[in-house]
Amino acid sequence: MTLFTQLAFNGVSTGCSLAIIAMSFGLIYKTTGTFHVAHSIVFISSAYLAYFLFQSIHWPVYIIVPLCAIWAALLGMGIYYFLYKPIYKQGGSVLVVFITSLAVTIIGENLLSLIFNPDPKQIPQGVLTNPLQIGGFVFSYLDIIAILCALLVFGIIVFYLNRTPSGRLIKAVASDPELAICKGINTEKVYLTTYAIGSALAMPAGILIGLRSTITPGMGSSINLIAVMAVIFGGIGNVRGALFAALILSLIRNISLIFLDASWLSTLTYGIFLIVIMIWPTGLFGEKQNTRS
Amino acid sequence: MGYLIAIVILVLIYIILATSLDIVFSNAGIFSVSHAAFFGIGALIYAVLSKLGHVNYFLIIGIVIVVTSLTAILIAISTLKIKGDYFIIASFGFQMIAYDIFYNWVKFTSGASVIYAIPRPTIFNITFDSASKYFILVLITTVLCVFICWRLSHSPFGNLLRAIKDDDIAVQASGRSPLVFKIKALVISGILAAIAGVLYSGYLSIFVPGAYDVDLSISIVAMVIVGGSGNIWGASLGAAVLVILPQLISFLNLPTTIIGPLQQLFYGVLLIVFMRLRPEGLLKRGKQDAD
Repeated sequence: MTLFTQLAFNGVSTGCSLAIIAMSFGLIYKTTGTFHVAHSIVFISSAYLAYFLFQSIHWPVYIIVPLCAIWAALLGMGIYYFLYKPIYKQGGSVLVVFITSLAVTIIGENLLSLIFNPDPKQIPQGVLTNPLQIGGFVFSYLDIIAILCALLVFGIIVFYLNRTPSGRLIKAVASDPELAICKGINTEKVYLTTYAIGSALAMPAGILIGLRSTITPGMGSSINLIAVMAVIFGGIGNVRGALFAALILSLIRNISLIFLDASWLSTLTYGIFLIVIMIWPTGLFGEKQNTRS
Repeated sequence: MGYLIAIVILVLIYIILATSLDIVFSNAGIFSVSHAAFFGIGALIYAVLSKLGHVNYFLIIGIVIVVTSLTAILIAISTLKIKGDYFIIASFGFQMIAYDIFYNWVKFTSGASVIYAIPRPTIFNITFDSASKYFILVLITTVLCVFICWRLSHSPFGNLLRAIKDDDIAVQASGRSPLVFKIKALVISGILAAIAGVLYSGYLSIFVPGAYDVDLSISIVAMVIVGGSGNIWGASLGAAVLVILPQLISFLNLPTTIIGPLQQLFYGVLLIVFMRLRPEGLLKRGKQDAD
């Protein structure tokens, strides 16, 4: 029983970084319709930046985290502005954008392994992993920070989309881009903002992964893929759905370790995905299918 | 000379992969990211069976065809009703599951993480042991496979697949089942990829599960798109360009730990350049596709 609860707790706290990635990916995917695979390179490179600043320059946390957020936002905007946008202007298909996005991921991963070498890196944890014990339940500050981060990202996205003028613009463009253009909304600007915000919000996930375990240049894309599954489970464009789906997925992955060898984890994950998608094609919490492609 | 033959053999194998993916990709419009799974099935079956001793080459090919067909039918039935981006993720999923199976299979049967010392094939008492002999085997197989792909896309079958891609409801209205034809397309393309896998593991004489992962699937898709889909020459050119150009990096006088990432980096840059300059592919669609 204790093993079960401990694994369940681990599932929730590792699921938080997954949820952060899922929510930010969902924001970008819903608004721009781009299958932004290169999202993985955004959060992994921020984790590497954080690692470098912690390890080599010893800057304080309150400077490093904003710097990483700025870096992630700039990278996300740059990828859109210099790579995706010209392709859409040329009338290139979704596939061309998809391949470009994959190419960015390949370039990013290999640049990281050239700069930092491909060995796993860990961001120094300091006091964060000191164990806390409440009622036979062992956890660390890191777990609490992870849960707070996921809730914060959730709160920011919901507040931003519903309560701020530029967030409402994003919602308008996401639901009907053509009508938005007719109403005089500058969709280019809205897309840029979406990439900036979506990327900056993904950054904590990278740092959390780097703190909890280790980061390698190539690990981002598989995590991103699981997050994408969570987005689809939750229903595209449904922030709360993405949060819950990511947590549930992570819970299942962790709890299944009781009876399953770790090398079968992706079979389990994708098996669940295939079954769910066949029964509920619009996701568990989805209202209606996103028809744009 | 040996290096040259090695590259040419690699290019030929990739040509089979790219042209066979093109059957499902541009004719049937199925954006599958699990082609390397079929490639891996062929490679694994050859690796396991040929290590048993004197198993007839054609028997191995027959078993490969049966297993791949069943797998392709399974994949097709469970995923072809899923549309668009979801299908991409679903086929990614099959690729991941295939990798898990390869990995665990090799671990349980041999205890190691790779299968070593896979013998070269013997056909009609000729053992294809030298590189030049093997080159001839690969060349003949490639020509055969590419011919099959060419015949298929120029046949009524190919026309029907393209009709399904353009308007599957119209095809249904004329009394044909789009699903059946999509399944047939996936089975044929899977079989060809698996045969490429047989050639590949026979050539390398080693089976590494990690070689048949998502990255390979993606690079096969990239070959088709870079070369120009809907056209066997396009897919072949794409395969040749994306195999040969990154090899140029290895002529630089650099340590091997840098060469690997640098090659990948160059490959990524190439993809972006091709997508920017020729989003339609190097060779555009064949005449039969022009509206």
